[in-house]
Amino acid sequence: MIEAIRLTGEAALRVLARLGRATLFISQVIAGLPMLLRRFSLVVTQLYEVGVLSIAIIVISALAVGMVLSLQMFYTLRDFGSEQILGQVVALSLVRELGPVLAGLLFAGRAGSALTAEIGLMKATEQLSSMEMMAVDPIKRVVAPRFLAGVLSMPLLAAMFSAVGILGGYLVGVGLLGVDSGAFWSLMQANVDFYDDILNGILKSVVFGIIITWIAVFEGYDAKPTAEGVSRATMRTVVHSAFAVLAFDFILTALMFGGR
Amino acid sequence: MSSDSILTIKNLQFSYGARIIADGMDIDIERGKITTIMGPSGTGKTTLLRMIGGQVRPHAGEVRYEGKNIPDLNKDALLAARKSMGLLFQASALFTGLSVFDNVAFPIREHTQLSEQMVSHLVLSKLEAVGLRGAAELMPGELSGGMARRVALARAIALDPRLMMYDEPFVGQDPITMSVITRLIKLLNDSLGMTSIIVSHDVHDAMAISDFVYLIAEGKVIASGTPEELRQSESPWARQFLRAEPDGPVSFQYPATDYQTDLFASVE
Repeated sequence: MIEAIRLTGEAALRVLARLGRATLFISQVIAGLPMLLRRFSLVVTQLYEVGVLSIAIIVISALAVGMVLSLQMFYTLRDFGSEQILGQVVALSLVRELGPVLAGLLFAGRAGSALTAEIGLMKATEQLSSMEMMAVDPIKRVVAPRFLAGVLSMPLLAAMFSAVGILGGYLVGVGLLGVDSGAFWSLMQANVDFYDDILNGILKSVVFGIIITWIAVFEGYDAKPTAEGVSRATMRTVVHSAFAVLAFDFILTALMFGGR
Repeated sequence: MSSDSILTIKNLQFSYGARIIADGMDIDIERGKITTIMGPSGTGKTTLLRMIGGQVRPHAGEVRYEGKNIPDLNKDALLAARKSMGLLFQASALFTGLSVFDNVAFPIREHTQLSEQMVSHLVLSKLEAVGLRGAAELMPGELSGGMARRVALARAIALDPRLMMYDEPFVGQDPITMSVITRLIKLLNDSLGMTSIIVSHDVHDAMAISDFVYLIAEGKVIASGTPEELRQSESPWARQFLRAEPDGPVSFQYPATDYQTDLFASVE
């Protein structure tokens, strides 16, 4: 019994120590952001790696999700004779929830894992150490541009997910199932509020972008400098990011829409 | 401490848990000379270089570089001190996403405001010095181990450091590359007026170009002197190491319980 308590205490201390390290780390990263104003090309390169290269998976997934969502909703709504509100339902589902959350999960799998693996391998092959010995701070030079690129990319990718998802819903709902095109767009326009729905969705994606990129760069920088260490760090990035996205989604949804 | 020391290590203490790396170590590096620090594998020679570069903090003692105690420096002062140091990593540590040219240009672009034309001149002159000007456009993945080591050397000397440190520069190299690297270390030290520290356990090549040698084991300097003085040393450590004798104070076996007990414990 005592042993079990001791082990639990040890595990809790390890988690707290790691959280402390992660907090100190992100404060150093944030302190390195002003330098990027002078060298924005470093961020642009990472925007391409982190953001542009994630577009394909986001667009394809969004199209599929929008089409399936439209299909499912159509048959449910038709039972109540309300299939005309399909556009509104698809748009609200995507803009409020599915866009930020699914884009976040895909972003963690595609860009987050890549960031962790890249930084972890740079550590394992002493590239970060050699940078330090060249009097270059790797947190400012390597981590800060990647962090900023991740934070900027995520809301754009989530917005893209929602837009393409709506298009997928339109193709199935209007093109395949015969919902009236005018009703699809006009009910969406009338019932999707810019501040309550779109802006809150964007806010969620900004929060997810910060959390996922923070986890990804920290896991890479904190990885054990071995093949196994980098592999475990990459796995942790995907798992922890997924949990964090889902947990924060619940909290943010409760805060944003709970009082209605 | 010699009046012309660039680096003085005094009463250095450091350990990784129970493994002692430095236990009151004293080392003096004279300016303009090539000093080799030798010792058996696992004695912490690489850690010693990292303490000089401020990447590892000693538990006690001084690492005084050009008068400044490295462990006492704040981040900015440490970065400034590192600008005058170069370290050739054992694993070369080239940036895999950059070409050979960009690898060598990296420290120049980071620390100077020179025009691209001037950067190009500097990079090509450094690559010429290591015989790899023709490989400027190659990527690190396309280089052999010896070539990668020479590119890393060109990068390490890009800002003309006053102190150049080499971590096991001869490990894993074929005889031709080894002799080229040995010649380069000597040439760069003499022509650029640098001070060099070589960490190695390659007795023959390291001693051939060294002005002074420290032999370390169990966290202490156990012998030091010119290569000739060390060859004449009566220290059992020095004798065993320099003559590559299997028996002596340095044990081949990692500390373990009695062999027979280990073998027959399960039988009993």
